Amino acid sequence: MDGDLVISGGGRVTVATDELLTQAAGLVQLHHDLRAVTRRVQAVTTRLSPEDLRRADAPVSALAAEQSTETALLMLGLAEKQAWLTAVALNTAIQGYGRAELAAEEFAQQLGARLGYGVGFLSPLLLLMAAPTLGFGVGGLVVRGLVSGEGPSSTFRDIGDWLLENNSVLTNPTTVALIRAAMGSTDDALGGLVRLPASVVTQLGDEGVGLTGLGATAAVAVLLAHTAGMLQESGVVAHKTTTSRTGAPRSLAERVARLPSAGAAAGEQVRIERYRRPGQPDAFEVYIAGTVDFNPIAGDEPWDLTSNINGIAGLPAGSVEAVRAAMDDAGVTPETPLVLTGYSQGGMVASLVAASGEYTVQGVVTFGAPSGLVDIPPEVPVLTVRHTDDLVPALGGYDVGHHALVVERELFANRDVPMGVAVPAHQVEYYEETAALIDEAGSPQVRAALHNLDEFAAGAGEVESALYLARRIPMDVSDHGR
Amino acid sequence: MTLLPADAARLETLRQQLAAQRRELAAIVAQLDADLRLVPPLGDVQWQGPARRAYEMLVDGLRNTLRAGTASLRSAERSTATAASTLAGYGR
Repeated sequence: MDGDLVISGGGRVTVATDELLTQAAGLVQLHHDLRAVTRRVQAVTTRLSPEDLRRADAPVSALAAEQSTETALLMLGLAEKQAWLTAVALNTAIQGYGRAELAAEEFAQQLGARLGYGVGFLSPLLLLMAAPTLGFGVGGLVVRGLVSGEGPSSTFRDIGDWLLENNSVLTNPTTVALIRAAMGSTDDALGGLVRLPASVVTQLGDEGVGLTGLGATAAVAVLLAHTAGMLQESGVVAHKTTTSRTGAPRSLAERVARLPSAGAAAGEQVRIERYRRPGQPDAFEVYIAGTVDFNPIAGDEPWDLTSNINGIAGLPAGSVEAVRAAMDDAGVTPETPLVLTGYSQGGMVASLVAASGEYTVQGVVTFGAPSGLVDIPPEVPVLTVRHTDDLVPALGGYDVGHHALVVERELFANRDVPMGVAVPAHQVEYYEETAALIDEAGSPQVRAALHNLDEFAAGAGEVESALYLARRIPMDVSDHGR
Repeated sequence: MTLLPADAARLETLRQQLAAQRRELAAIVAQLDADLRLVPPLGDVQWQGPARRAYEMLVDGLRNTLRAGTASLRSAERSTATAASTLAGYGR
């Protein structure tokens, strides 16, 4: 399945390439077509029967035509049944594969949870056993920093350089699957560390009632980080910087192209497009950028690590608040028809806004988003696009919902991983490339998802596009504002 | 050969019926040619093992049956055209 689009979710257990799903749909179509064709051929044989031809003293060739038509009728009846049988066989294989994938994922999740609990439970002992090695290691790093005169920062830089040079280690579906399993078992590790009984941890976690999980662990991490002045949320402001007139997007690739480049000089993180539709209420599309700042200490950029972790923890996040503020300014109300598209953190923000239930969301599209934990109501159509060699979506753990249509692709299955970028499969230009492939997909599942988006944009006579720049308000100022 | 007016009219009716049949058969053959493209190409099947072999057999059988059916209809179309032109020759 090198580089192919693999489709799953959408409320079904099927997991298959777009090509196989297209073939299955084609076989069902063929079955229906052949049934209709058979009726037409039957009508031909009824109009001029062999008796009619003999009575009319027709040429022998007319009788030969009748015989050939009768033979064709038999063949087409058989082909109709074969088409149905082949379609059933293919769909059964696809569903069987889907069930096997689901079972494998559940198994990996449970195994990861048990391993995580064991690591957490034994961590004091493991630390004790590793102390001599760790001591030598830390000592070595300190000596190296002193000798080089650059301090420990040179070591971290070296680690970063190593990852850049060996990014194929991170850009690997197996690594990504391991990271997802590790993220999914962080609550189990924590439970083991604080000596909770394993059965209690399992019952409370993702494998049980889901009270704890990655979100809870992230919340604990946020609380601990607060003591060191990190991951602290603040107030945010969002203001409109530019407006323009444009047309509605005509493809998924065009939607990716509309995502703001938050890392660019201007730095806007949100684009809001207002569709003026004659005779209908205005509709809005919101495009949300990915993370800009990875510093754990919040600065003025709300698209930062603080928003990321708080978002995963299900706590108020600056980027989510900024999008709400921008939507409010643009005129979005709880009744306004709305489609949200986001990349990376932007996808998580889009999902959180949709999950809030405070808006009339008619579609969510995410690209490479760590939004697995966000439980979007099943009535909201969701299209999730991710590369299986992109580790960022894996940081969001396993998907809690199964109604989203998930389109996956192994980006570097057939080509070399480019050097000099730590997580190349996460780059937005590659997601634009994948979006273009999705636009060409033929499976009914993908076509239906794209049709939903096209329908939303159809009828937009005039489109007003506005870019919004959001900034954090310094803590003391936002405190005064409360 | 001299035809009575009643025979000529009967043959003309039959000729017209055969011409209509030929047109209908040609349309059905065109539809079947298009339908043949819905049969999955075998080289693109993306899994291995017994299931794949079974699937290949089914697809292969379907394609052969569909081709045979289309060939029979094409033959019927040709015979119908021959019969219609033969009838047209009776009146000359």
